[in-house]
Amino acid sequence: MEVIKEKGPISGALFYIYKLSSGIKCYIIPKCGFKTMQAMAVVGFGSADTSFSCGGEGFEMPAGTAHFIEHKLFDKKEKSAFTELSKNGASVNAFTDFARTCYYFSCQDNFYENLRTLVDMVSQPYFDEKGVESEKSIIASEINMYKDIPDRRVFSNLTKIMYPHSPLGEEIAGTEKSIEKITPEILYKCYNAFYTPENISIICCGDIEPEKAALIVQNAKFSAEGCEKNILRDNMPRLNDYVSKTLGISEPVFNVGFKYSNFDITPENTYAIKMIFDIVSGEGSKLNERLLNRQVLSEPLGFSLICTDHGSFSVVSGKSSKPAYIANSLIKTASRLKETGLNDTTLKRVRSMYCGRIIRGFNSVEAICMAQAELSKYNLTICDAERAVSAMTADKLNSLSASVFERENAYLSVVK
Amino acid sequence: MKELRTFQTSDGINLHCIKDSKFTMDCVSFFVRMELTKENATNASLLSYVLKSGCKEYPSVSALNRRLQELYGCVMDVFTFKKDCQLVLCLNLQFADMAELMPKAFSVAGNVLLSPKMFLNRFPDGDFSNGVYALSKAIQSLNDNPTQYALFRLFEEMCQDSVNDSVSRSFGLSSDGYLKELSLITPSSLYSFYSSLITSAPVDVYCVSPKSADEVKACFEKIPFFDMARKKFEPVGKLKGINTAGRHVSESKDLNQTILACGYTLGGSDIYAAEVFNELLSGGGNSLLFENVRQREGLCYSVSSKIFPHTGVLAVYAGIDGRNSEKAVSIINECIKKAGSCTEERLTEAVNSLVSKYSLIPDSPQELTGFCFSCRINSISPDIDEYINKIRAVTKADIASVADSVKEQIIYSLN
Repeated sequence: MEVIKEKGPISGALFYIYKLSSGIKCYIIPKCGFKTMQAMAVVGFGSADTSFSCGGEGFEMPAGTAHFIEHKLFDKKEKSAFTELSKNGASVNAFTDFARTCYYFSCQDNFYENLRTLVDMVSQPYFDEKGVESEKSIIASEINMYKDIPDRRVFSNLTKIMYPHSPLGEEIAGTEKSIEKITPEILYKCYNAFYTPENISIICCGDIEPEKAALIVQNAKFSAEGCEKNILRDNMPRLNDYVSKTLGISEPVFNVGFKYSNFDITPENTYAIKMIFDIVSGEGSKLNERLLNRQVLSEPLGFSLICTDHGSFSVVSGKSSKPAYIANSLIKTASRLKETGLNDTTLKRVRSMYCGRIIRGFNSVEAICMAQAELSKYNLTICDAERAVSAMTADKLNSLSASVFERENAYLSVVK
Repeated sequence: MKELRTFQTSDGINLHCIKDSKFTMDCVSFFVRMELTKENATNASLLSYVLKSGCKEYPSVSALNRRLQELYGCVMDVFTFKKDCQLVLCLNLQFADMAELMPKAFSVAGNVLLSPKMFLNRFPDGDFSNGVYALSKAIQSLNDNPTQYALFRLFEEMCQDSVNDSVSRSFGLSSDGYLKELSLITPSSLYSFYSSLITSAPVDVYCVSPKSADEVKACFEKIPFFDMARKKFEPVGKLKGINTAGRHVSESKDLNQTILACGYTLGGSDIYAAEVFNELLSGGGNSLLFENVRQREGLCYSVSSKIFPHTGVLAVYAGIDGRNSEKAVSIINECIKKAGSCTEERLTEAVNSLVSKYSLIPDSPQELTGFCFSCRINSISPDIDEYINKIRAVTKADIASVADSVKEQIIYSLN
């Protein structure tokens, strides 16, 4: 097994990266002294990956297929891997986003046995008619639950106007109508297209022996054939940049989305964008203070950056009865930063904040796995992220500040 | 668990230190306790917003937050929460475990708690007004999260008519406060509330850190708390006087799915058996509610239960299609019965699962702090190993006894 060892320049943590002969990449981050051990299988198949080609033939899958597999992959012919892991002392969960499906467990005993169960589960699908049909009502209930959560609703409405011609504009779980079309054949077709070793990473963290864990992953047998994923970039002229929905809530929630065309997904770029948000409108910014003092905001704004093969965008979120005013203030302040440039004091303060954040992140096995899961799809590690933060310069931030929060890329979604 | 050392630095002020070298950050929580009433909850919540808006040393939101950012992104929050029937104002600090950072972070916390901006015994009008605005939004936003709102209403309905027992009634109160009470507060009255609280309420400070207890104590002692006799609180025990059996409450909010919440009271005093009972109900993938309500009947995506073992309250809640309400209630009650007569194998699984959860608490400073503080409030030993041994000792007969004591009090549905 080929192994690369790296040490985080900020955290000082050790990383073992195994490139296994099967094609799987295994990231192991030992954490001595912790009882918690966690393993996560990250599959590079998300809700936006609905179109692909196999052997020259094209396929379009119903919205929600990746998420449906996430629900059903636990089921096996004789038993449920979910139950097996639970009975073996593990706490189990899974989630799907636009770009990935992740399955994970944490436990304090039987780690290697549980890891084998996780790897077997991901490598051996079993989808049957009865199981697929009975899961539809459970997923429909999940879809309906999200409709009543204003934060989910405002986000899904945002992506609908940002990406009307792309699966990024579809609900991750699909709709009641789209999941009705799902059959075991569709699930197998997608499984065989995407659950290939090259498209899967396994992340392990805790007081574990790296080689022992890597050997278990090495022994997994995958039958998936692979496919050619169709990248569906939605660069059409926009139809609408505002959407509003009334749910009758006490204070409107809003998302301001900024769409980036041809975004190069590197740790330098992603951290630079996050830092620019903090400088412009984070908790230490003058803008945040002004908005609180004017009582158009009652709590600080939130920020997230979503990167996928089909497109990347950032979202500024908050609650306010004047969301358009906040969006405009944000764009104006960012534009002023573009003109004045960044001073060294601010850079130093923000960089030290991110260094502290990275160090704090190493306080939890679960947080380490989640952080690595964000990066492994792009063959990156937390070490790469740490290097990017250490090397961040004012020039880098100044060069990007011009394009992060621009009016022509902005979209606003409000739920009242 | 690593060693817990407690220092009483003055009457009613206690510093609890847990040293563990595996952590990469220091986690410090200041807990200020008071009785849970509508007035206290509203005043304390408003105070949390005013304190966060700056202090004499860092007189604005941006100045305070920039100072925290300079300290390697130290995270500070001030908020209120309800622990059983007591109200707690909490200042929480988390910072990277780096040389020289702890005294600086403690200094910021001390400034925020003890040197707020004030003029002529009143808080500044601007900070007060911003706090009122933010709190009024926070109080109203409880209505916007269906599950959170349903559980709040369930406990409110269950406890508000509790006969002759103010403690039981307080269990149904919100720790965020109330709009009516908020309208009565002034910058002067809030400052009086603050002055009284900071000099008379018991304060417990927990620090989970790789640093030694003596090092933590040296930093803590620089915070100039007033050396005054402080109130004492006794554990509240089981709620009394709740008698809402057979009550059905339904509210409409035009939701896509119905949130069903069932409230129960429990008798007996075995908190460990009550916890195992709850684990049997909703502890994981092989729990009774998951297996029966979700997997067997396909009635929902999410079903869960929440137990308050010290006060003897159990809530089961699920998001369902409203047409299935009766069926869901019947299956939930069937699960409660099944838990009472569980097999030895199922009991072992539930005990192991719960033991595993408690064993992992020392891996999280926040959870460790929460566990120790909960034990302190309820006057039980904060020794996790001892707690785990008591969970391991739970028998089928103990579980049957918990199941027998379960009394359905109320069914609440939000449509």
